[in-house]
Amino acid sequence: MKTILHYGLVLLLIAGVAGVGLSLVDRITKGPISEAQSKRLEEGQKLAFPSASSFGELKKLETDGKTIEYYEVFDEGKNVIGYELLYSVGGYQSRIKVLTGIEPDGKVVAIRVLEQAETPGLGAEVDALPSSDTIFSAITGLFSKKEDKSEEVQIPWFQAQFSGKTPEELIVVKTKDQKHITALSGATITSTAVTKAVKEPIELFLKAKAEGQL
Amino acid sequence: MSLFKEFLKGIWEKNPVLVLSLGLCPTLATSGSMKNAVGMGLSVIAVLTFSNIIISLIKSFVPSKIRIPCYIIVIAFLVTVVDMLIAGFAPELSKAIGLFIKLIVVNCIILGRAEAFAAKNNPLRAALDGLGMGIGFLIAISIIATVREVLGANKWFGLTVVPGWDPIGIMILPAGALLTFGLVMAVRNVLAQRRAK
Amino acid sequence: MNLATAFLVIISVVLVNNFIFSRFLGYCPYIGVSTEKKSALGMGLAVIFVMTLASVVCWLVYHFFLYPSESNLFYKIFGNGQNVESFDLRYLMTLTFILVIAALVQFVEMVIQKIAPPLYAALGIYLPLITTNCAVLGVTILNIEGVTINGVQLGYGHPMSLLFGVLQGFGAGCGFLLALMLMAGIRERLALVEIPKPFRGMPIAFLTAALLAIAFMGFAGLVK
Repeated sequence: MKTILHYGLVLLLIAGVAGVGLSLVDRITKGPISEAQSKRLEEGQKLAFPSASSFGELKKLETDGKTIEYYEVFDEGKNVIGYELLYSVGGYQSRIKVLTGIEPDGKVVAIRVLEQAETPGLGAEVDALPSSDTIFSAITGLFSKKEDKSEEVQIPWFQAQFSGKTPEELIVVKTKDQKHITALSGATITSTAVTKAVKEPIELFLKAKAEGQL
Repeated sequence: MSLFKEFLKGIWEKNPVLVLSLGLCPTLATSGSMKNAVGMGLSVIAVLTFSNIIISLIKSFVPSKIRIPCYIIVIAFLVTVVDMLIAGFAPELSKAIGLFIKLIVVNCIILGRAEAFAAKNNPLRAALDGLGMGIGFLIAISIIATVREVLGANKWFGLTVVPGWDPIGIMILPAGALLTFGLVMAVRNVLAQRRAK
Repeated sequence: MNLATAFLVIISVVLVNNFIFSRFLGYCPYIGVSTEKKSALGMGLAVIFVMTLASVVCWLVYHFFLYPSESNLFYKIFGNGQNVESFDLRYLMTLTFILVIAALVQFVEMVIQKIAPPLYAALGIYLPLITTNCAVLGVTILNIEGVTINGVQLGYGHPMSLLFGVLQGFGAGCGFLLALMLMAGIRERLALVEIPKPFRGMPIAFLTAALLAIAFMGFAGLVK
């Protein structure tokens, strides 16, 4: 009996110290964690609809057993000039979450992949910037003085393809063509998934809107 | 054993990954790119060093029958701290390898060193052992990540290696991880046999 | 979640996202006990059992103690009109889950020993090993994080997340058993073959696993 009590006390003490310690660290990191998340969403919102001046609250739309989350997009006079749809699909090995800016008729303004953890080098290239940096240029760059690059936000080439397309044009093709979406090489599943995450909510949203469900 | 040797043994002679075959899951899972591999390696170094120190400090006060749960609490505490710090200050890395950071809790390297070394030695030696083993892990995972990222994506730390070369995609996929790991282990065996002669 | 989705969850976790071949979870026991079929079967069955049970228990712990909601027990007892958010204990997830799993494994071991000695004789020695099997902790965390299958979001916070957890836990265990049996079958034969010296033991096991992983890549894209 005495040993059980002793063991229990030791365990309780260690667990208590760990718990208190964690709650302290949680207080410190909670701010930065939620800040990083909301910053990513805010940046995404601007990129997915550059001409917007403000965004509405997050709304939910249930249709066909699927849930679409969306924001209304306003211009300076508080008129609705479009929507941003938030939708997730399963990719090759992770959940892909995409924010799509659309005009009221369903034409894509721009998209932004908010979350993905696809294979590095293949599927994760959906976030790859058009870059000519090689190891050689990076090393030579160390020795030559660089001009300051302007803090301009670059859009990954794969995501840039979606801008200005209608839902019917959102089809993945393997050879480069301007009209459709060119797949990332070696990552057809990821490319198809992102395209689906853009196309499916637009179609569901337009249908629901036509039926007056909004 | 001299203090320096205590530190050095984890790097070659008793390398936790290549010789003791511990901590395989994170080695295989996060070696797809150098960025993820180094992030994982540094997290393991931090957790391993501090867990060794703490466990060495509390060893006389923990009854031996319940030592394992006590060690697990200490390790889980450290892992959660590292996990939260990464989520707060490196959100991209957290997205890519977050699950495996949490799974450092059940990484056999950490519990193995706690049980086999930290519980029997003083904090200084335990710290050096943890640091050495952690660096051994970082080196092993970096070798595998270099092979995979260069062959599989033609990149290293995200920078193109040979412009215009079409990489061997399978090296980036799970199969490539297993293949590379098997070959690296075999190469180490050859080198070890040569040294023994 | 309808029957079709439930079926897809199982297919996804057994074949497409097999824990061994595409998620890299549970390698230590996988390489450790895959040398003969008999022990592989015992280990696999023990893992299925523990994974399913751990999925349920960890979901309950998360729902009633960690996640800040109306049904949080701490909120019910000490709440008194305070903000629910202040009962957010999610940062203790890793710590509680691993302790729950460790306690669960110990408990299961004792119960089986008392109730079914023959079963204990078959599975007993594998149970303690399961505590440090990262696939078990992995599946409980993945149950909370959830997946998206055919546009249906699953996981904590979505409808029927407990059922999803049970299915995924059971399926992940079955996938593990499948991987383990395949490997054990091959390794039993490998033991009879002359292998170049540097490849003996671990390296050849990994190369074999690589070939199996290539075969499993064929399932990619089956479930979207």
